[in-house]
Amino acid sequence: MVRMRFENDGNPLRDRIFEVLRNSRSSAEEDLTALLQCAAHIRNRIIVEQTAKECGLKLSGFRANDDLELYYDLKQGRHDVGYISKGWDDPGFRVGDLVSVPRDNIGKVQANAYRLLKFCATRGVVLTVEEKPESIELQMDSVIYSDGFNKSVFAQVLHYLNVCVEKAEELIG
Amino acid sequence: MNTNRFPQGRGTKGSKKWIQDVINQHPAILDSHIRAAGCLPDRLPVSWQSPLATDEYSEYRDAGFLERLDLSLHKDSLRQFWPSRGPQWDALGVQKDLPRPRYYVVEAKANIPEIVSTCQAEDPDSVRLIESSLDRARTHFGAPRNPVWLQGFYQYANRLAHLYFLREIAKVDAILVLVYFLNDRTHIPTTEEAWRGAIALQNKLMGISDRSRQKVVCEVFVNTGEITG
Repeated sequence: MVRMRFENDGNPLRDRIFEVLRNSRSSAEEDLTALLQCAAHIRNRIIVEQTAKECGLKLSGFRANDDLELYYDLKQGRHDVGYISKGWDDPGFRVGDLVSVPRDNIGKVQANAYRLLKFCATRGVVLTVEEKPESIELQMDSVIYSDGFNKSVFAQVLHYLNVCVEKAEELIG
Repeated sequence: MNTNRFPQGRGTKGSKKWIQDVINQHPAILDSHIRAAGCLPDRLPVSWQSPLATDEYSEYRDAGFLERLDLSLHKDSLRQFWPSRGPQWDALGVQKDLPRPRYYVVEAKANIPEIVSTCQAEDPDSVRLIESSLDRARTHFGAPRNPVWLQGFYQYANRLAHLYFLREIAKVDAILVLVYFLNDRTHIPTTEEAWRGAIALQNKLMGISDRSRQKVVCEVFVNTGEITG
């Protein structure tokens, strides 16, 4: 029997990945899913980093873990303007911000949250409220589907998010 | 003649269009969601009474909705419970093959801004009656006194009050079905996650626990793609 010999094209990273796959006990389907997720993760990081740069935003605090495919804090100049994240199974990116309200202001939250809910919803921003021991957290989120993620959509979503944060501070803060 | 019958014409967008579509063209889809939420036994369909194409897609309110459901004997009690121009129901249905007939009163929404509303009544007697009936319902559902029942989430509050009327005063087996349409591309597309966040906030602000709604308030999420697809 003649064995074919291939030239080594010198891609050590690929060789290391194949080494891991060869030693893996997972099925071919599971291997493929993991590889596709890794490819998507790399692609999505590039898209987010490039788009943020085009929008004049600074990214920091990158995280990825079992739940999150990616997470960055967003800054415009010196100001925090929220975050962008994506879960492994999410169809798109979540752009959001958190407003923390002291518990002393619970009356204002109760009296105005419905106004804020409507205000945010008409701008595509989802409002959820969580009570913590020291504060009430208003979580505001928008979703941008991966295939529609570009500079103008990102800038628009951030604008609406910022408008909603300002409204929250006006009504409740 | 039912004087509290309001022909709607064919809806072209939003919750009006979708509830008309699902009731007239795909009632089994709505039934299956209600069944999955535990509010309709297996194999039994709801007999939908409105909004029917053969009835000019009419919606009903006040004594008219009782008449449409063959519950006219409770008309006087309703007049004592709520002033005229009460909730106009998006859909009405009944299931009569159960040991006790079960009545379905439906409120449909296709986007979150629709859930925010404020009481518009001005007549002092009407306002007093509304406040007193809302108080009875609020107490029944174990919620603390809270201004958002009148200002903010009034529509949900008055639907809950009518559910209280049907179950506790008229003593009939009634279910309030809240239909939340997903991804309405005719107006403002809303995801299930966004709906769930808004509903949780609404119930939290109104002081309504999951337990008090269990088995009497049926929340269903219908993807508009299921109806058009």
